[in-house]
Amino acid sequence: MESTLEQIPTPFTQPALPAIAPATDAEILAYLRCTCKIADLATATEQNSLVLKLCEQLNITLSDEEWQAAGDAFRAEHRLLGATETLTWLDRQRITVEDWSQGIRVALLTEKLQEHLFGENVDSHYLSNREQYRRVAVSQILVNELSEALRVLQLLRQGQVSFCAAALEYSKGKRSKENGGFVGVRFLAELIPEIATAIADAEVGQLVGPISTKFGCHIVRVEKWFVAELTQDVRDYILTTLFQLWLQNHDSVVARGWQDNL
Amino acid sequence: MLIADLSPSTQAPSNPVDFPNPIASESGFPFYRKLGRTDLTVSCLGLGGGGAVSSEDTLYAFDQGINYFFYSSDLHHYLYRSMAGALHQLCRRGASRREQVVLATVTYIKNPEVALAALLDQFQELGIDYVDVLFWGWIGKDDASALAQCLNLSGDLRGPHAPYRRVMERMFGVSERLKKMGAVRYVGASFHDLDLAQQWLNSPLLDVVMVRHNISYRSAQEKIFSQLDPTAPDRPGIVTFKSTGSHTGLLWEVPVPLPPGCWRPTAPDLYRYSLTQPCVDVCLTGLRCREEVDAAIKGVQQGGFTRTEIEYLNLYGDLCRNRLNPQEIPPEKLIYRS
Repeated sequence: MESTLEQIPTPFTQPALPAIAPATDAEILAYLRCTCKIADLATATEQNSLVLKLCEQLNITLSDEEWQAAGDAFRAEHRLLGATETLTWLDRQRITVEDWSQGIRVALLTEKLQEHLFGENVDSHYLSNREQYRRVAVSQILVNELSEALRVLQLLRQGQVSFCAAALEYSKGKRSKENGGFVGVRFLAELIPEIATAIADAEVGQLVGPISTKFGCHIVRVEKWFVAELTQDVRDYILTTLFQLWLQNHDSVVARGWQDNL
Repeated sequence: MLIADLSPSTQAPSNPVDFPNPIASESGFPFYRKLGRTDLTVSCLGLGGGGAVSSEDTLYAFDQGINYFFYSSDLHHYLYRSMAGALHQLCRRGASRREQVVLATVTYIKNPEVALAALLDQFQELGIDYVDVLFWGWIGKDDASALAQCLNLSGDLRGPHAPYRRVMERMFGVSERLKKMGAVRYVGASFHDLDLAQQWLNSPLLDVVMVRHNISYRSAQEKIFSQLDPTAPDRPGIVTFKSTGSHTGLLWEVPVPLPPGCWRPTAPDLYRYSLTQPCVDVCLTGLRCREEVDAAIKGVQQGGFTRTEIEYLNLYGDLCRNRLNPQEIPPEKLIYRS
């Protein structure tokens, strides 16, 4: 009897979860290190420091009114109109008002620095490269081998399979496989140069390819073209791109300096 | 940073439109009207420089109430330049009456890369800080691709936030009006091919459509005017040109085989004919002198034509083009006027 009872499985009981104290900054840093996520954040942190130093050098400042207006705009955008809900939201983000204010300040100074460095160049850059700022909605099927790409292309041209079904079945690209081929809406400038060149004159619905790149063989279909227009969003994109390129150059100059000193 | 309760944002009202000096209308025919979906209030008669009107008479036309002026900086410039002085006076930087004028300019170089150069010419010559409507001129049947490329520029050309405004600002200096209006407020196209015009009729990239229309060439009535709802607030503005001309010459001068005493339409009658059509906002004229300005205004003040009068003018137009045998005209359709 006793042995019989012993053979009956006891019902599973969840162990009580131990109480965990909120993570300290040191623990968070340790987590970022051991999960290999620290490099990007370190780079972003260094960029912030660089921005602040450059602003100091170039005498780019922020008035209290500008700072307050930017903070209010942030809250309005995030629908944090009430003071109480804003403080609750900050609490949920585990940051203080000072942390948040500092973030607003750095973002605004970054914008001012970008404008100072490249604001005058955006229009001429855009007008000289207007074609590159045409946006296009594209779908693609990415495969490894040219022979496979040609086989899929033939199936598509013969109407034996839809583009969506072919992408789901054959594409090796993560996004295009998950989304039935649809990659999204992109500036021509954002696309891999070989693809941008190949589709520049393509009409809506046209199959283009196979196009060989370092990623494999692409079969691309243009879903829709959008007229180029220098909207505020596009302007911000160009400013950020020019700024990031400049920072990358700055980083490589700094890196070369370190190497020279070694 | 202060964290206080924020009030929901409210939209500022748009600036009210400046109206030109009102002119008395002696009938139900409105002399001033809104140019399609634009914010522009225009006189139903427009004055272009194709008749080499002088600057003095251009100013006279403005004083009489005409506020829509059309200027070419390239094709036929030798004719247009005689009105340049008046347009400079009315529209130059700081001109007190600038916002009462609707300045439409045209370039016949159908290439988006030339837009900036064309605007530079116009800004330089007229001393202006903005144009109300920039037309791409003479769009024929082979211009589909060029037109598409030109109109694709609209978003970057139009309005105060467009890059062309900032480019002009850098070249000509800052002005409040340029900042407020943009270098170009609206984009238009002048069509010689009505099928192409029809294709672009509902495009957001095209604000004003200009088409040839007169008693002999009435295709625009079917292909353009009837395609639009005159009351739709988002329809494009419609301007007609060549209201008085055909390939055989000026319509009122064409010898038409009609019995003596039959009504022979005058130039003002021909403007009225265009303006009687639904959706036509402006009839562009090539008035040559102040006497013609007076006659044209007097004509349109009589209002639209009746159906009977329109039918007669259609017959007249067909006779001008030799598309009708005079013997085939039923006598009851004839209108006699001394």
